[in-house]
Amino acid sequence: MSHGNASVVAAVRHWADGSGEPYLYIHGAAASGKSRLLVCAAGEIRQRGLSVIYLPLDTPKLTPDVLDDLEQRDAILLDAVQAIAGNRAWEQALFNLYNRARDARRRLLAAARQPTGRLGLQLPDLSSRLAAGPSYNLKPLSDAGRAELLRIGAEQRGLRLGDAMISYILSRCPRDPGVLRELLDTIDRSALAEQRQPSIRSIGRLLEQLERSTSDPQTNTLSAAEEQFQPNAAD
Amino acid sequence: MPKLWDQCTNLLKQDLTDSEFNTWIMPLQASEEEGRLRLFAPNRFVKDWVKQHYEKQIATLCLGVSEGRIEHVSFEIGALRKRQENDTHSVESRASEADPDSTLEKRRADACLNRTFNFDSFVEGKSNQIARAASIQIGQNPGTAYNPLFVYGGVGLGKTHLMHAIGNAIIEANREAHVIYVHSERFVSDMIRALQHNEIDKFKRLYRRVNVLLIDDVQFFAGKDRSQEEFFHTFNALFEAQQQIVLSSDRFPKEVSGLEERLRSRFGWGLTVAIEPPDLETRVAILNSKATMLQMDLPDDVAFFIAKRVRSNIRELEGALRRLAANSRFLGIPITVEFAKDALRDMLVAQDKQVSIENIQKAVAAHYKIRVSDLLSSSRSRSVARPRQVAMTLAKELTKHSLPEIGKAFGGRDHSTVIHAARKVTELRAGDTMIEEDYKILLRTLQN
Repeated sequence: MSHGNASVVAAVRHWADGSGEPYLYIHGAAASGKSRLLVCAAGEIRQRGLSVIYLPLDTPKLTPDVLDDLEQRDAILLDAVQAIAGNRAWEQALFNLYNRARDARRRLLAAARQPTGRLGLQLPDLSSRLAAGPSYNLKPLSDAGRAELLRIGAEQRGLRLGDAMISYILSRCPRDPGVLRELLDTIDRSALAEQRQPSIRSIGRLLEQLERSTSDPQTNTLSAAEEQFQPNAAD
Repeated sequence: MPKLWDQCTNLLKQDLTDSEFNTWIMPLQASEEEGRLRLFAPNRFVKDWVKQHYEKQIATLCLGVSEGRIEHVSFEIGALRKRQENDTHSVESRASEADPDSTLEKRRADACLNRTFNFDSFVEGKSNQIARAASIQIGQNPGTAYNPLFVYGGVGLGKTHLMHAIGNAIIEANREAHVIYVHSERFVSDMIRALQHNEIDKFKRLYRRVNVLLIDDVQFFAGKDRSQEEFFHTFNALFEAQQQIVLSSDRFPKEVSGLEERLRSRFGWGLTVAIEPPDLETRVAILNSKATMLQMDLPDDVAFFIAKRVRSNIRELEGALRRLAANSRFLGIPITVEFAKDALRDMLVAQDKQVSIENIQKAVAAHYKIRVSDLLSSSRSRSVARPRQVAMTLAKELTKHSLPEIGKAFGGRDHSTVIHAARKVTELRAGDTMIEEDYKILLRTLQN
């Protein structure tokens, strides 16, 4: 019995609308969709007129004082926590932020590649606090899930992508869901410009042009996130 | 939020990556006044970053969107006080709805107390009964029973819960009581801020006039001399006025390094109590109590299953339970052991990985200053045999390995040797305080 990622999305949705647990911890391998999920949650909170900060801790040139007074915002989303594990000053700052957020009754969601116990944190107090709320494992999409992502994404954009085209993409394109979504956008734009549905040949041309970088998602609602996570729900 | 800033953010969203937008633009709050847009960042870092990277872009957009009306954009640190009426984000606001007595809730909020941390929700077991009893006493007779009360123990064992429970009990009995719960780090940062703003006298007055000061994790005062100095005087003022002081730490007062001796000795003036990791039965009782609070139906076999597998601390035990409740509610599946195994799979794997026989052997060897190879050797000298027995007992308690597997991991010994070791250690722990202390330290080290 596996419940895929649907329960993770549900937990984040409840966290975002204020009806769920105030502290969540999400872990998952690289390119499993953590950042997208967090960005979508931040977007929903903002749409509700609340103040929110989404902070990927692997952003270059950050220093621990970026965490100062973040509890003034209604919700705090910290991504890539693994980037600061083992750094005493950062861990201390994060521990302090957690305590301040708790005292100010703010919501805090942290995400990292590993579960808290395997993050390599030096401060046991921080590890214990991060584990205080429910923690969820976000699983990367399987090949079938990626195919489903492309199928659903194409449908939403009014594109007709046959099985042969999907196989063609999956055998040539990086497997990161972000890259796949970006490709869908590119195909969409191209189809609109050329006023015709995509073909293997046109996709091949676009793939050649596609930058290898994994860009961020274009939309930011949890419904959009489900486009990615839904396929796994039935795993 | 003013419409102007809404329009600007919509345009910025198109120009920036989602990550940039969410990290640096979304946390800004805006107010508009007399030809000026004031943007408030949560801290100096964010303010400086936004100013450095996006000032020109924002200013140009504002000028355009306002059709020349807004010529100036200022970047400041702070937050707007405005709150949404239907803001379910604030746990505090939900708590107030639940309790019509808003005065009491206000007192709680002023004191930084969490209403759910009370004595009723604190499950008593052998590991915490003295600490709980002393705390109840203080809740009933602050300033007279034990002063200061020093509670120490590993992370996630309920020290903070007890401190809040004391504060809540005192406020409920006397709404005029001036209680402050503060984490030691907050004390330090408040003091630094007061010094920066030339308000140190105000700071001193605030802390020296309270009836009850609950200060958490005092080990974080280590190395902060100016804060220790200030806290020393606060402590003296409160103690002399017979106001209650409650302190917590992860270790015994004398063992807190980086603290001035005069503070350490004061911490030990009153009553010092330990909170140990809960035993299996207490863990089960804690799960049942939390399940009642979460209004979830937790079968006994599931409670035992979780309690056996999540041993490190109460915080993680609660985390596991909350996740189980959320998954069950979301999927509409009743909670069974099978469901718990599946829902908590990755968490349990992580827990299992935390304590291995190898880790136990390393920790025990380091504690007794012998080599791991000694533990595996055939030596029967007391200096080796005793640590070996302790290590075997810990392996029996903390891992899922069978007794023959444990015996085999200790130099190919028989399972009956493991049974004998466990009996011997249990017997020794009851009669020998040194062994008992060693065992507790090792347990704490391995579980954390």
